[in-house]
This record gives sequence, C-alpha cells and structure tokens, in this order.
Amino acid sequence: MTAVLRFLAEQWRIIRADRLGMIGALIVGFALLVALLAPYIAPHDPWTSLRAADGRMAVLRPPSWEYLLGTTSLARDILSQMIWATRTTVAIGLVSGLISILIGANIGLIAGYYGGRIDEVLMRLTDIVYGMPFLPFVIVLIALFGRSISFVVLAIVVIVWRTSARVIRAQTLSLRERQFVTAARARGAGDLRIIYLHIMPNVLPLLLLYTAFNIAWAIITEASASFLGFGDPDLVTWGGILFDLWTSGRIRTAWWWFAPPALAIVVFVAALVFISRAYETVANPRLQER
Amino acid sequence: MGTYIARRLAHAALTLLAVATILFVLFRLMPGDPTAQVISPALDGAAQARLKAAFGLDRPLWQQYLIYLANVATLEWGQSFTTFEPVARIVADRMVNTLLLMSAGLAMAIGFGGALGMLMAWRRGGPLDIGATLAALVFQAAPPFVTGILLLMVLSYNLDLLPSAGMLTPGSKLFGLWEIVTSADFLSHLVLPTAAITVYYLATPMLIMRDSMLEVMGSDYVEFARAKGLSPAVVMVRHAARNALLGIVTVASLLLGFAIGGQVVVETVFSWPGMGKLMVEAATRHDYPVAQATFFMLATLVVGLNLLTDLSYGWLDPRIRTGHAR
Amino acid sequence: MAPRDGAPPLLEVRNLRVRYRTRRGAVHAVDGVSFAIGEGEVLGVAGESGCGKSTLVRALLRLLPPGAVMAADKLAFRGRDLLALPDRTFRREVLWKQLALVPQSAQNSLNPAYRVGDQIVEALQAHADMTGAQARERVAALFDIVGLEPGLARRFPHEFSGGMRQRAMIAMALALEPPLVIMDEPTTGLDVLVQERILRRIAEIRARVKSSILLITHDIAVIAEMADRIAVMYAGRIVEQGSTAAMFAAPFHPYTLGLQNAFPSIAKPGKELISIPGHPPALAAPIGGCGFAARCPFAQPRCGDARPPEVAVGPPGGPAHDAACVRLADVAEIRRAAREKSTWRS
Repeated sequence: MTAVLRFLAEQWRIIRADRLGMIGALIVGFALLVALLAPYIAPHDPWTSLRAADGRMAVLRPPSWEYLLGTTSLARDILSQMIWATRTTVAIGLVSGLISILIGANIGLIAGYYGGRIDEVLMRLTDIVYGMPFLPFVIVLIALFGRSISFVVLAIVVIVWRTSARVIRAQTLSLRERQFVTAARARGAGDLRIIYLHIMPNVLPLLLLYTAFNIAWAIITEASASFLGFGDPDLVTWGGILFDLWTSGRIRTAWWWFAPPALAIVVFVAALVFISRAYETVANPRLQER
Repeated sequence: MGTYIARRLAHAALTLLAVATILFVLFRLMPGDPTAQVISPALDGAAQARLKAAFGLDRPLWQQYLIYLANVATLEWGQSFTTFEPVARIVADRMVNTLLLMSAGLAMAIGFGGALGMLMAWRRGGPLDIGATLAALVFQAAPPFVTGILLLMVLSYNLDLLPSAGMLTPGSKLFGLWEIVTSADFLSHLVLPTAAITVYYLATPMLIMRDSMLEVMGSDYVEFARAKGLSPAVVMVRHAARNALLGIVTVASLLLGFAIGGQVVVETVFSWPGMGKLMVEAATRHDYPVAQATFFMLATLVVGLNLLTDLSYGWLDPRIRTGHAR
Repeated sequence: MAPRDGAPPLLEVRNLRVRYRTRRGAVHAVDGVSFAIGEGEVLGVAGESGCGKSTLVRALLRLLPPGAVMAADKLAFRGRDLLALPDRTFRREVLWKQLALVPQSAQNSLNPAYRVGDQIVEALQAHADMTGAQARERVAALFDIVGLEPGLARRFPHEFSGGMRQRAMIAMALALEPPLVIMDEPTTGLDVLVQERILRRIAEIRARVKSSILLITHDIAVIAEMADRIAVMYAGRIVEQGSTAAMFAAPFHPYTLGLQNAFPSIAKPGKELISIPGHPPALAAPIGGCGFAARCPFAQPRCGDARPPEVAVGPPGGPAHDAACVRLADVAEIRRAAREKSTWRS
C-alpha cells in the first residue's frame, strides 16, 4: 500500500513540475469526476425527448437557463448527453488505453530482452500491424461483427499497442546491456524477475508516456468511428453526439450541438498530450535542456 | 542499395500477404453464412450457386484460401452488392481521387511542418517556437472531422467562400485527369479538405523536425559549417535541415498509419469521392466485396507509402545508399 | 619570431574575456588572455581540458554559443581591427580566407550526407570565385598535399578512416592558403601511429605552405615537437608563455612544471610520470588570486590575494618569456621540488 502511495506521489511530482502537465492533470481529473458522478449530476435522461412548458417538443433549442447547452433535433438535453458521453468515452479510452499498453509493454519488453528469434518474430508481427490502416480496421471489424462497445474496444486494442511495443523494445535493448542487469543475472535472478523487477522500472516513464498516448489515440479513434456511424447505438459518446448532429442535417445552424462534444474531444485529448509531455522530459532527459 | 531495396520490397509483400490473410480469417469468423462475403443474398438461388462455384466457395477451406489469395493478387473482388458493378472498376476511380487529396495534404503537412520545425529550432525559445508548439499540441488533439466541420461552418456555410462538398461542381463537363486537376473548380473543392488534413498532420512532422534540428544543430559538423564561413541560411538548410530530414522520415510510417484514418473521416465530411468514403458507405450497407476491396487497397496504400519512406531514407542517408549500414 | 619585433604581428589578442551565462550564474571561461602570433609562426596553447582552450578557439572564430559574451581590449589581424567587423563581413572576408580551422572532432565534423570532396568545394566556392571544375581540381591538388588519393574526394565521410578524415580536414583548412590555421587538438582520438603520421604530414606541409598555426592541445609532446612558442593556459588565463626552448629548459610557473611531469619526454624516455592532483576549477566565479593556487603544492596565503601579473622572466635582450606567479624569486627551489613525486601528492 505504501509502495502504491509512494508511486502515486512520484507521478504527482513529475506532472506538477510541468505547467502544461498540471493543466492536463486538472482537466483529466475533472473529466473523471464528471464520469463518476454522471447519474447524479445529469439534469435529464440523455435519451428522453423533452417537452417545454407549453407542451410542445423542445426541439433544437439554443442554450438557455432551462437547457444550459440547448437541445437536439430529437429534443434531447445536450448537457445530459455530454455528461453521460463523458462517462462512456472516458471509460472506453481508459480501458482500451490500459489493455493496449499492457500488450505493447510486454511485447516490447520480451522482444527487447530476449532478442534473436523471439525479437524477430515479435517485430515482424508489429510490422504487420503497422500495415493495417487503423480506423478502416475498426470500421471493417464493426461492420462484420456488429456495432457493440466490446468490438470497438477490441478493434482499438488490437492496433494501438504497436507504437508502444516498438518504443519500449528499443529502450529495453539498451537497458539489457547495462550493468545492473548483468549484475542481477550474475546473482542468479531469473528472466522474468529481471524483466519486471529490474528493467521495467526503468522504462516506466516511457510506459506512462505511451499510456497517455494510447488513451488519446483510443479516444480519437472511438470518436471517429462513432462519428462515421460505427459506434454502439445503445451508448452516448462524444463522437456519437456529433454523428447524430451530422445525420440530422442541422450542422449549418446548430452550433450549440457541435461545440460541446467537439471541445470535449479536443480539450481532453490535449490534456492527455500535455501529461505525456511532462513524462517525455523524464523519459528523455536530453529534452530537459530544450 | 540493391539488396536494401529488395529486402524492403520483400517486407512489404509479406505484410500485404498477412493483411490479406487476416481479412480472409475475419470474414470467415463473421457470424452467419460465410459465403455472404462475396455473394449478395439478394440474388436468386441459381445465380448464387454459379457465383459460389466461380469463387470456389464449395471447395475445402485451404483451397478457398488459395483462390482468395489469387483473387486478391489479380484484384478480382467480385461485384458490388448494391450497384452490381465489378468492384475493381469502382475502386480504381476512387483510388485516384484518394491519392489526389492525400498527396496534397501530406505534401502540405510535411512541407509546412518541416519548414516550421526548422525555423522553430533555429530560433529556439522565440515567439514562433512557443506559439507553434502550443498550437501543434492543440491541433494534434483535434480529430480531422472536428477541424473539418469547423472549416465548413466558417468558410463554407457562413462566409460562402469555398464549396462544401464533392470534388467538382455537379454537372461539371470536365474530362480527363489532367483537365480536372488543373481546373479552378477542382482546386477550389480541394482547399478545405486539404486544409483539414494538413492541420491534423502538421504537428508530427513539425515537432519531429524541431527536435531533430536541435539535435543536429548541436553536432560538430554544423558548428564546422559555420566555421567555414557559410551564411546562416546555408548552414541551416544545407547542413542542419538536410540531416534533420532523416528524423521526419523515420516517423513518417507512424504518421501514415494515422493518416489513412484521417483520410477516411475527411472524405466523409467533405463528400470527397475517394476510397475512404466508399469504404464507409460499403461498410454501412454491408456491401462486403467493396468493403474488403477498399480495406485491402487502403492497406496497400499504407504499405506502399511505408516502402516509399524506407526507400527515401536509403536515399537520404548515404550510409545506407552505399551499403555500409546493417 | 617573437612579437616584440617591429612589424605588426599576424594576430594580436589583448585581454580577451569570454563569459557564459548559465542557470547557475556566469562562467568566466576565458579571463583576460593576451598573446600574439607572428607570420609563419607556430604558437602552441597547452593546458588540461577545461582550461578554456576550446572557448578561446570559438571566440577567435566567433562561434560562441548564444549566451556567451566576449570582450577584448584588442583583437587585430594584420593590423585590422576584428572587433569592429560586422558578423557578415567577418564571415565572408576573414573566416576560412584568413583564418581556417582544423576542428577538435575531425571525426564528426564532416557532414555525413555529402561527399568529402563536395564539402571542400563548398568551402572554396563560398569564398573564392571558382567554377565547379576549378574547385574540384583544387581539391585533387589539396588531397595530394595531405597524402590522400584524389579519387577519394568522391567518397562519403563514413567510408574514411579516422586518419583519412583528419587529413581531409587539414586539406580543407589549407584550401584557400589562409595566413593562419587553428588546429584544435589535431591528433586527439587517433592512435599513436596515425598521430605520428599526421604530425609528420603537418611538418611537411609547413615547409610548403607558409601559414601560421595556432596549435591547441593538451599533449605537451605534440607541442614540443611542433611549436615555436608555447602559451600555457590555466583557469581561463595564460600563466606562462615563451619560446619552446626556454619553456622546456627553464619553466617558471608551477603549473608548467606539473604539465611537463605528466607527459612522457622525448629527451628522457624512462622518466616517471607524475600527474597533478585535482581538476581545473569550474570558473563559476571570477578567481581573485592565482587560478592554480588551489592545486599548487607551492601555494602561499598571498597567492589568493590578487591576480599575479605576467612578468618578463627571460634573459634581457633574448626572446620574450613571461610568467604569472608570485613566487618567481623562488623558482630554483620550486623546480627542484617539482621533480619529486612526493611534492605533488594531494
């Protein structure tokens, strides 16, 4: 437990040292809070068509005190949709980001540590995944297997690990030859022990940097797929809100419908990029002087 | 250089083979009748049986696989479920349109990004450096459909400066590729989608160029070039930027992996009649032959462009050109 | 050819100072250096790394990084005031035409992207009105001078060995027959055999080309072999300078004595090497007294009081020989003690 706390304190120190990183952390923290509290803070049900006081459907209302962010062409409250969409989008991002870094880090560590035939096979595999166009793959997978959240996450995870694997492999290759590794081997430490107890702590900043990146890529990809109509129809996401706007044909007038999800995507992804930059200076000390 | 090219070509071919295999497996795993991937359920029984035999779908799985590979290699994708045209013919036109938009966007992004990155590094810490870094971080976070819609709203819907959709004004009488790409109509349609793509891609080459420029500028040969009494512009471009370009080329493959995704989205937003839009439509309508073909062709595009970057790396770095590197 | 002769020296430097601004405050890398080089003369500047030699070179070539400030009472080249020259004029008229460099890291100073010959052609065409064919012809002639096969001009730097690159750099420096060539550690990083060959080659070239050389090195043996005069630098200052013969026969400054102990001598092959304990100071603050006092076995409390002035120590009427030490009067005793290993133990 204390180890976990010490780890978290260390991460906080790294992020706080960088002004942009700090801003990023605050934004991500706010989004997490909204995601957790969604059922309690959303003023309306995101799917219900609302009626105004005069009994008419509240269709395409611009922002007002009644509907803070306005309503959609189906008279749904955009603020409530945004709050629930934050929950799903952030969850999709976190889940796919974390699973993909788990895959990428392990492939990178194993390929880099063992080298030789294992490295060759794993890196050829990575090359093949690099040959897969990312978003088209997500679209094809969903078209074949159905518009469900699990396939969206699966499709993202299957592709997005590739960059982290390459980068972590490169770092592991150079760490493998370092003295503390040879010393550990001389003491009779097993391969797994060396990989996870001696090498991994040294690639940790890089790993966290790419965790942030992977989450960012996952969110952009999910938003793009949803915007193109390949999202889960039972869930509301930022990209899904934009898809509804796009297909409603109201894009020329309903700016209040466009601005919240668009801003949410840009601001949240930018926050992740800011955090990753804070780690970049740690992962790559040369950058500190720049 | 010869063996370098040969090895890269072999890698590219292997990757495409793997992509085709993955496609084959995915379509077999698809729930429902596996033959539905090439034969439209709308056809009558006799026609279905005829097509089944033509595509070898009545044979064992491994034979189906070999027939499939042969079909892929000869671009024989069957016919569209929706228009009943041969898929190869539909795809060919769209491929050209995609290449037009993509090369315009990538050229702008790498050209502007490279030049900006170079100047940012040269005046490190200056207003351009700080401003462009921040802008790049934000633009990088904006998916191209967001910037695309924003551009549409401002420049097309509100100010009515540029056309909002398509590649040519409907009813255009232009004929032949050259006539089309040199027409004012085409170019005005090209501006917005290119801008959306450029803004999205710009950040990566720019930041990479900046970083590798900073690295190269600290090198002995750049200092020595200054000692030779060359003008600052010559030192910056001929000695520093020339070597920093290698940095851009190294990450180009990473950029391309995402470029295709941006392409698909931007084509949809601007109704650009390219492969990406075709693919989205086909996937939405469950037109599997077209979806498969477009996916494979987009993968070919990624692999082909990756090959191109590898080759240009070899060309830029004499150590590889003369066969001294691993 | 001492600078006290009537004609103006080729290069005259008086009270040159260079200060770097860093996050931890200013660093006085060069702290009031004065010297002169005569026409055709070889002046060796010796000292450990970190004594300000490289900064001195950068200052002379105006290659100081941003954040460095340079000042001098006088900086003149054949009587022309270099301090007053705008950057552009300096770059076009002085660099390479008048003042060429054989850089410290010749290994990495060739741009890996271009053919070696083309890089020399570039220098030629930047400063002389030459066609491509003329420039290439000149490159072939230069390669011949430094003992490289002319056909090698079409090769890339990575196809050259260390020694070949060093020769190519020397060829490039000689391209426009500049009156002064600065050679910054020309033999560092090369193996002994190649070093020997390069030195012999430089000596041969000296016989054919009449350039002066400012030779920067930490290697006393190289200086002894090549220099007409020697300036010993420590902590950003010149602590002693004089003719090579005088400096070796009768050095005055304890640091010069220490340096000579630390290198193998050609005259006394079997001599035991004694190194000076400690390292040069970081120069974060200007040093009030003698820069060497902290490491000097002969230091006295008064050494820290004020910067010792450079005093003429040579025989009257002979070649100039200056040293900056407050204990010059005790030199006989110091020289004797300096030969003992126990003296230099920290």
